[in-house]
Amino acid sequence: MSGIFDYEFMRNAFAAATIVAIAAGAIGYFLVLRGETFAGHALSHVGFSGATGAVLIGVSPLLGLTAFTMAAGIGISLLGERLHRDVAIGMVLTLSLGFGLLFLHFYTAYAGMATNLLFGNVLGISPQTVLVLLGMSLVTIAALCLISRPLLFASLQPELAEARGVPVAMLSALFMVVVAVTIAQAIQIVGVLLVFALMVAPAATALKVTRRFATGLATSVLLALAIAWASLVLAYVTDWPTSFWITTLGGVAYGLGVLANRVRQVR
Amino acid sequence: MRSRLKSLVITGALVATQSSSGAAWAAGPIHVIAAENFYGDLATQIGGKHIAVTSILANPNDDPHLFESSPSTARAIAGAQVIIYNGVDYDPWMDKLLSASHSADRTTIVAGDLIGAKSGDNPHLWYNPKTLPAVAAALAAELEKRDPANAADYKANLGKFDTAFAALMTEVDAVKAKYAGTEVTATEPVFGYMATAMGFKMLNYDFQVAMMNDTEPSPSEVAGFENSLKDGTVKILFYNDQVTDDTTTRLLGLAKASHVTVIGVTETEPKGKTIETWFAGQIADVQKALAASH
Amino acid sequence: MSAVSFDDVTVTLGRRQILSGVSFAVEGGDFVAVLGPNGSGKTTMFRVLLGLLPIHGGRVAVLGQAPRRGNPQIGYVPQSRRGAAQLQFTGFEFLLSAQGGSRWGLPVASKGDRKAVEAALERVGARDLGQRSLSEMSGGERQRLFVAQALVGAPKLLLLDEPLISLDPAYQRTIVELVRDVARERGIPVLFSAHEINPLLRAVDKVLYLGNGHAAIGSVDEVINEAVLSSIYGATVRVIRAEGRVFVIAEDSAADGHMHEHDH
Repeated sequence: MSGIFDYEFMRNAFAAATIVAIAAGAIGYFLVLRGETFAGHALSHVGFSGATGAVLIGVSPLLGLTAFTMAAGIGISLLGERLHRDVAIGMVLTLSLGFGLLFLHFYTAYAGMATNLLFGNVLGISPQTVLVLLGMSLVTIAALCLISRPLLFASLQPELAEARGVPVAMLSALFMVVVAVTIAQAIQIVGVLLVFALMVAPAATALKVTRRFATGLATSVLLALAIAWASLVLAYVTDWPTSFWITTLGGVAYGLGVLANRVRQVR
Repeated sequence: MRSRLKSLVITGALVATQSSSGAAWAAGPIHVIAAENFYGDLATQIGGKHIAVTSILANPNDDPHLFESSPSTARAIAGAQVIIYNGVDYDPWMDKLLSASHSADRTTIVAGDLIGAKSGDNPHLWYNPKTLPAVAAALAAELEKRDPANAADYKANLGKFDTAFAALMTEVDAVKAKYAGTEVTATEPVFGYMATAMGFKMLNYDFQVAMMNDTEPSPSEVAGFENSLKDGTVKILFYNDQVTDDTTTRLLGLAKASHVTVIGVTETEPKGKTIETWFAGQIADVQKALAASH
Repeated sequence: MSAVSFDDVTVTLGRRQILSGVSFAVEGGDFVAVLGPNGSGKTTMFRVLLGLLPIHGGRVAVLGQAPRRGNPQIGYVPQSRRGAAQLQFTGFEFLLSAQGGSRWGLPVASKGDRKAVEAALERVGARDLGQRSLSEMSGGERQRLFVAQALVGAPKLLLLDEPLISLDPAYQRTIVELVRDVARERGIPVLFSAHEINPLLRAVDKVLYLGNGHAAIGSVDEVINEAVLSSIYGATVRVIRAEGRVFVIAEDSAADGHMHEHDH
């Protein structure tokens, strides 16, 4: 245990996990509040197609997956205006997975770079990647700060917000872009398949146990941080994958949150 | 689906003394990490008792494409002095783990770089006759530099390996002389370089790439593959035992029904074998199969 | 000046004409029940007044001006409240989130915002609801909270879109009386849409009846009679009064969905 910070890869992992947990906790809070968790889940899978596309044309997978998730996020919010929202998300998800398969079909070399993203690799984070994640995180959090007031209103009371002159559709699209960039970061830590755990579990737990916006948001961020840090330590001690611990601790936190909520209502 | 690296063994010394000062290492053995176990086997043959070798991918039952590194792997890499890995995107996690742990006192030997393979080439380089001798020479040179006192041992071991490997290649040349142009196929391009060295004509390459990348082969690729088995065009099916699904299992059945010889290949060295016995066994299988069908 | 005036207004949604040449006026201080079957244009009319939908003919004036989005003089209770029942937010926090919600930046409430929300809660007798979680409230309590929200900022006109849906009869009466009392006290007009007239009988000054793209306005007796409703529906409609209640019965399918005991 004593030597955990002696390793550069562990220091990088902690730095990256801290950065991503703050962004995921904050943005995840709004995602759950808006009932758009399925969109978040879909965008992470869309990211995989983006990464394969990027590998195919020879650019960085992170760039490809960010571009793809952003485009899909805008697509979902535009289509969602016309179609039923779940249908819009499902359409964008399956379309992009289809493209991902096509990209792999055209890719005649070994696609290990892309398949590696399915599970993420928090132990393989370079100092450069930490800086990139920090930059992305600052941008998303700044954007969230800018839109959070009308976004909160539009999330809680969309009809009233629209009547009061809030640009609801534009906000929804902007928020999806913010979510897309956050997901692109989270994929580096937990991988495409498990992004849900880092973005949704802390936020859903926070919404269960708090009654005010500010405390809820703070709880979500702190919980995401606690889960990420504890998972790294547990992975170090047990030698099991970090993403296993993130999903498990997220599930435990949510379970306890539901329980606490029940107890409070019974009293 | 996920690989668990239970077979990974790290000595206590490796974890405890991961200091980067060169002096601390001088006393103990040189620590070598091999991403794949055949490179680990090679390192053991060259370094003998003067080095401690850890192989990361060592279980023939795992799918090496789906691999998430564990903290102990990352720790072992952080403390190693010599790292051997395949490169050409076969093991991109190794690039990532290395970038996450900088070390001044570390040498990396990348097989792909040694033989000039590029990203996008068939990554199963260990079957390329040039690869293992090149890795062996590079490793021997590195060990001689780090441990001049035992340079003679390293030289002798390198000579031994080269002789044994040359004998294997003589057999390969014999196959080529007799059976060049024979049409063969495979579920994945694992054996590709060796098949080329044997002068075979490898059919259904696009299908193999699709399987390698966990994507879906096109209908014409599957149909072409099945026809080549059914009409007796191909004499051997090289079958990757580590990456199988319904499609490959079906093809396996079809090959057996069409009396096409199936030779299993793996992306890790099987337990209890050395490079020499592993390769020799496969060359013998090929010779037996072709002798029967000609 | 009328509080609300529609002059030969036509509204089309897609290919469907929702309102065709509708004219009516609401005077200051009137409590108007907006009735009509599903799809008759009640919500559409509200959205026109809020400046959310364009009109395709005629003229609309709200408080003497053309409709515009974000008009702070209109207090609005929209129909659907997606997910509010699952929310752990307190009533106070929920209302506070709407204060200044159209400005960019962080949702930090000013002292003035808090005072305004407190005053509105006080007015509807919902101080305690401010401290309770939405998920722990009954449907009626939540509706009371939303009425409080519509009162924040001293509006000059109240629009309530089906606020009685899924409330029990006792709470329906409470909400109607609450809205009536506040409106009288402040002398502001109310447009209150509902599925049936009975819960509103003791509060309404006028009825605005929408159907088949047309509208009729007047007192309860002037509008809810067989002649007017039959002409709106273009089919025979019977009106029965019994024990102080009114029942409208359609003779053919044109007025289906307006059987008064029928609910959503």
